Amino acid sequence: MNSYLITDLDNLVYFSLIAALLPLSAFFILFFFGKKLPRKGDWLATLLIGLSFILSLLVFFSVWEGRAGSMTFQWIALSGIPENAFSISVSIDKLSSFMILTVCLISLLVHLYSMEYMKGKLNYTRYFPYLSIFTFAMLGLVISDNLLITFMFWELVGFTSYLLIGFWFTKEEAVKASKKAFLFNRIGDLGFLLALMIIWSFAGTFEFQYLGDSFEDQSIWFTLAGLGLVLACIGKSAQFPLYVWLPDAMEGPTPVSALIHAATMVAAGIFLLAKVFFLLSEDVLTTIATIGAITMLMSAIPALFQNDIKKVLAYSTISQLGYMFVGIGAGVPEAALFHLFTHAFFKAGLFLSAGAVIHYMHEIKHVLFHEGVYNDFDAQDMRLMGGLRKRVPLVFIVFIVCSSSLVGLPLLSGFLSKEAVIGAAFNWADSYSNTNNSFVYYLIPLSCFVTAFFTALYMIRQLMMVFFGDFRLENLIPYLNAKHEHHHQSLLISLPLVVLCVLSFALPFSLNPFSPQSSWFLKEFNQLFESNLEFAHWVTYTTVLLALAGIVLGIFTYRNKVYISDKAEKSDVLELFGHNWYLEKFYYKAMVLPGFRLAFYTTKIDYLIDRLIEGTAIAYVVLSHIVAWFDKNIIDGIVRLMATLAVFISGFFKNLQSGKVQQYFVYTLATVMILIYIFFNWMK
Amino acid sequence: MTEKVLSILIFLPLVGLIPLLVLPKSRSGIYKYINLAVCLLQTILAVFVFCLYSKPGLVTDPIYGLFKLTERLNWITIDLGNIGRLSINYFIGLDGLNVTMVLLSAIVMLIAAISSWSVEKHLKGYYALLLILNTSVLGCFLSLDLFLFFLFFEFMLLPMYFLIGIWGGPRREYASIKFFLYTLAGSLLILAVIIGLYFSVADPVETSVRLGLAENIEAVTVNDVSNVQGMLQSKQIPKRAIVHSFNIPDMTSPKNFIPGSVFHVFTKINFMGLPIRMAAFLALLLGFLIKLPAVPFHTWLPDAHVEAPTPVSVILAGILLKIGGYGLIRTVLPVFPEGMVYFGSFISFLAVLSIVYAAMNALGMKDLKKMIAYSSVSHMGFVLLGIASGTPEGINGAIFQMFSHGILSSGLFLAAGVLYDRTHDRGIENYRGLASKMPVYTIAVTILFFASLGLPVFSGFIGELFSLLGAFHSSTTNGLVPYWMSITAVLGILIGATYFLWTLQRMFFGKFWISKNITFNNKFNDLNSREMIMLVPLIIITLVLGVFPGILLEPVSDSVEVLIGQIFSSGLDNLKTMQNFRSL
Amino acid sequence: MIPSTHFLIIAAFLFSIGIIILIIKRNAIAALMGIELMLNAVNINLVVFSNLNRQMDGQMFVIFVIVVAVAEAAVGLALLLQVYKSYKTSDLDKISKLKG
Repeated sequence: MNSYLITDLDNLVYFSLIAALLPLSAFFILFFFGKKLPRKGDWLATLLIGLSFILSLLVFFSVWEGRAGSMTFQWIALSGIPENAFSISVSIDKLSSFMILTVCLISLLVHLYSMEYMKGKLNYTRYFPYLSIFTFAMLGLVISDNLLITFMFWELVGFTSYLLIGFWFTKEEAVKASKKAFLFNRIGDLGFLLALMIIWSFAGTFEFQYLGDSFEDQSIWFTLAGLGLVLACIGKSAQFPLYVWLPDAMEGPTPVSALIHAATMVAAGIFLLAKVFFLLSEDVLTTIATIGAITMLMSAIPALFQNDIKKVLAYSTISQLGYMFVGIGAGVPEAALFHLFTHAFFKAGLFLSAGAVIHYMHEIKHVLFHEGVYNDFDAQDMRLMGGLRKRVPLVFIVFIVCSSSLVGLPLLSGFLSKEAVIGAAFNWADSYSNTNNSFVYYLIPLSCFVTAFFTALYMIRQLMMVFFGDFRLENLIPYLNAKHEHHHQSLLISLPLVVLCVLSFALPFSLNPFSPQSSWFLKEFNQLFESNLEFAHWVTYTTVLLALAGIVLGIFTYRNKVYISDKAEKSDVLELFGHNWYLEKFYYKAMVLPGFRLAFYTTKIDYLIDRLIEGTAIAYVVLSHIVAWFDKNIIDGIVRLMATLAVFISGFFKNLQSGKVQQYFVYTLATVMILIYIFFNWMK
Repeated sequence: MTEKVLSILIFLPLVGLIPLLVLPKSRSGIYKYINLAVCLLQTILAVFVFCLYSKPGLVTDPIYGLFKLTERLNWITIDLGNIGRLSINYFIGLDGLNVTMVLLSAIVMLIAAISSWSVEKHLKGYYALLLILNTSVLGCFLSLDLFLFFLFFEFMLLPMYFLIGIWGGPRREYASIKFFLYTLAGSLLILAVIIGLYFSVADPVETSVRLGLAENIEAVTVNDVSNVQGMLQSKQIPKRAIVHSFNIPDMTSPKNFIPGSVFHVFTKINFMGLPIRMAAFLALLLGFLIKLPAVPFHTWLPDAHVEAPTPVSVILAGILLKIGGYGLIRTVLPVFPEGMVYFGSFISFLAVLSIVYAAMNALGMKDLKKMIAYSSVSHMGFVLLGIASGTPEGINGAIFQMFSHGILSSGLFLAAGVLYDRTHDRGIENYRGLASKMPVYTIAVTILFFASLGLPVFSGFIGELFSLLGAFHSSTTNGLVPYWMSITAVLGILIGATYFLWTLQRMFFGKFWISKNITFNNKFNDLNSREMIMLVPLIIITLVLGVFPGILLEPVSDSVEVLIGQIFSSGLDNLKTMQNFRSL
Repeated sequence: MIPSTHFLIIAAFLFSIGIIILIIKRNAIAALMGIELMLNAVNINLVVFSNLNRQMDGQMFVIFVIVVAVAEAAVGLALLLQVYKSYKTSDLDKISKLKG
């Protein structure tokens, strides 16, 4: 069945296939035999993903040396359908190799981190298989060169993230969040499906390599297919208006958030847009940029009002993904990819350090529980933290570095990529406003600036709340004052933190840490997309200045803020931003409620159909009763009348048969005499 | 042996019926093993037949090209004098359209046989009915003679009626009678058309024997057949020499229609303002749509499912619904192709209505089994959509979706049965957090739910995807499915995800809690080994088919291509003829 | 010579007596005797008419009738005996098994 169509491969393709299949095998082994293995087999999963990582390094470097490979299998051969319509193809190029590397690296770090973080947690046996299958799905998505197969992995990624978000399945919120994530992703997937349908009908193939040729006329369908794909990416990469699932998805375990909701799954949308970049028409690109700009602003502001340590990061992720959207929309996908790359590391670093903080808080909870002064508190609530820089110094350093990178301070990786995106946005706005004579296009780079300012503000707020000031939990529970034991940081937790911290510096990406253009990443990808990478310098200065302004303002605002008071803070601003612009309420009112109402009405319609049919049945029965009555009384009556007559007549004749011989004789005699009389009369 | 394998497949259950009836009641423990043995043998045979079919090398029928392993025996022959000659054949054969269905019904029957372990009432009757049902189902799928098809089709009703009516739940009488009446109404329409077809179609093979062109049926060549067809159309054959036939392959060719008969293309007869051929198409369509079922003819299904015992639900959802879809592609489309072309958008409207409407209904259900039943209707809507599209990927997808849905709905009903066996309650809202008590069961249900909502790597995805691709392709090429319909149908996938996930969240996750109304004798045991034996193979099948759909799609596609050729070549021709003939 | 009318009158008289006995008498034997009387009345008529015709066939027929009557009487009496055995009576009114 699987016959070769194209054979153009070397070890590369095999390496990447094996790299993808290793986590799958880990999944199967752990899913079925995990319980019997020592430590529930977490080491096995980590080992296999480590192998994958080594393979991905090999692939990455050989691709960067200029090699590439691809392979195509026939998947389904149907008569009446073109031969290569349904095929499976793998392509290893720059784009996929760098994604493989990112996914494998973050996944490996998260695996290591989870071995400590998740230890002893409920359902530990299930955790590593889920991580493995997620990694497999993500790798498959990345190496596939066929849009249909990509879609399949795309869905699979959604499913595995459903499993991981709802990992603590006894927690109602976690389960609801996982359902929400899957359904919002599904809305996006409808767009993907529509795009697939359009592409199938007009191009007749799903192979990326043939797709470009097939859409020769730029019809409305071409744009629609592009929009469908954009909708899919809006769902997966948590953009406006579908981003509401991501903050809720923080119900999942923290390492999972680092893997899925910072580095890989949400990046899949950006990856896909870069991959199908040649399919996107100008209108679609403008749409992408607009959505990105709206999203980054809309999510940066609520981030200022969150009290959950992970939710701040979630909103920040959405906002950074908005940057990436703008990068794609501005026609410079390499900038978006670069931001994806750097963001994957520093955001994963932030999530993992947040995880370390939560881990620390959990330990306190445990201690309190064992000492008998159990006081249930939310371990993720930043209002209870503060002053943690002394308790978890390593985490503090990592957090500072990663958040500076996020804010976009020079010398750090985030600076390079963010400048690239904002610069690209400015170039784009410049050229568009020149051709269209409208300044509306400048709104998009403007929103990038504003967001940069807000980013600094919310990050400094988080830093202050978590690491500076007093440890507010101690003020709340005086018992803790007496306990000042030193926190021992496990190597399994600190190692990933350190790696990610190092990767948040600019140096690994560019020898000149002040110039995005000089980074090897952008240079390499520029060969692929060939877009303009020359940015105005004032853009860079403005961004950095705005970020610094944000930091300064933040320090002054949040330095002496009282977080725990008897008076609950209440204001309209807080209401609006705390509730995420009422988007959830809107969805509830506009989609969920009408949906259920519709479901209610359809059941009623079914009820009506049933009654209608029963009514027909009853009418039928009534009719048959009438017929039965007619049958019994009229038709049977006639028959009975005849029968009665017959009985009456026969009764008369019966009485003649008296059984008395002499009577018979008399009858005979009389008859004979009558006959004789008649005979004689007749003779006359 | 190989030539007669199809007959063996059909009549094996009847052979099993003999020891079942002979054995006394005191030995009732053996009944289930007899049934199991029959189903096991049948499954092995079906797999064998499927492999035989999918590998090239099997000889095709010399006259009816596509069919393999054909068997043809004269069954009833009556000379009707001036009208001609009546001939009913025992004519069975295998092609791409039914080969997957045979495999499916064997598998589902086997699963149902294992699932029947838990039945305790009137064992002899139960298993006897099950075996009879088995024979009639396979007969229905394999017969190529319309009379034989209808006979088996009707014969299925009887065991189903009793299986629901005697072994069912509290409202079983209501449900069984509703089921019976609905299906009977459909069959009446079908019967009317069959009689008309009988008067209109000549069997060129037997006619040529009667005319003396060939010595016997085996000696008839394709040449003879085309000669006879030519003579028939130029009215050279005397009426009394024509052999009327119920052969489905004969009906698919317009050349076999007797000039001047009811269903000949040139007929001028009208019925309720429609040309009689169109009316016949609609009648036949309606008959099978009831069986499928399509909204708004679906209300028998939820009731029948809810009241039926688990194995019967499995058979009902797994096989009997497929007969509706199979009937459409076997008889309706090839015999009246112009109806398909003319009413294409009407059919696809019903399909989209089924998909969305039934999905909404499933969302509103509080009974687990009812929810699954409505999801069945929604999924069968994809079958109808694929068929209505008239494109290769659409019809291939429809057949695939039938198979996949057969497997998945069997699994879903089994899963519902697992819970019902333990608590005798199916209310979705009466449970919460079952995952902590029954982890393996939860995994099985999660997989089945996700497979049903169309997650890739499971078979449900492929079926739905192909149907949708076909539908949209049809919008852009032949226009049978309008654009808005193919786009609306996509919504079904979203709603499907909603009700499945919502159920999953409410019943299985969260903290464990059950309603006070539930009384259960034994504890919430996880799946026992018998239940595992039923569920695991189904999950494996859906997974394998999701990853390698070619196993199923490739043997099918040849026949589908021929079918589409018939629809569009003779369908468009017929339509044009009819339009020229009268203003349609 | 005695005119034939007288014989005919006696025959008619005898026949009427036979009929009346047959109708009135309850006893089966008496009824049988009534039949005998009627037969003999007919015999007389036959003899008279054959004498008038001057031919012998009538008288020959009479002899046949007498023989047949004897046989009939024997059979009738035998039947009567059997009837009496089963019914314990010879009253014709009580022997009415044939009543419809």
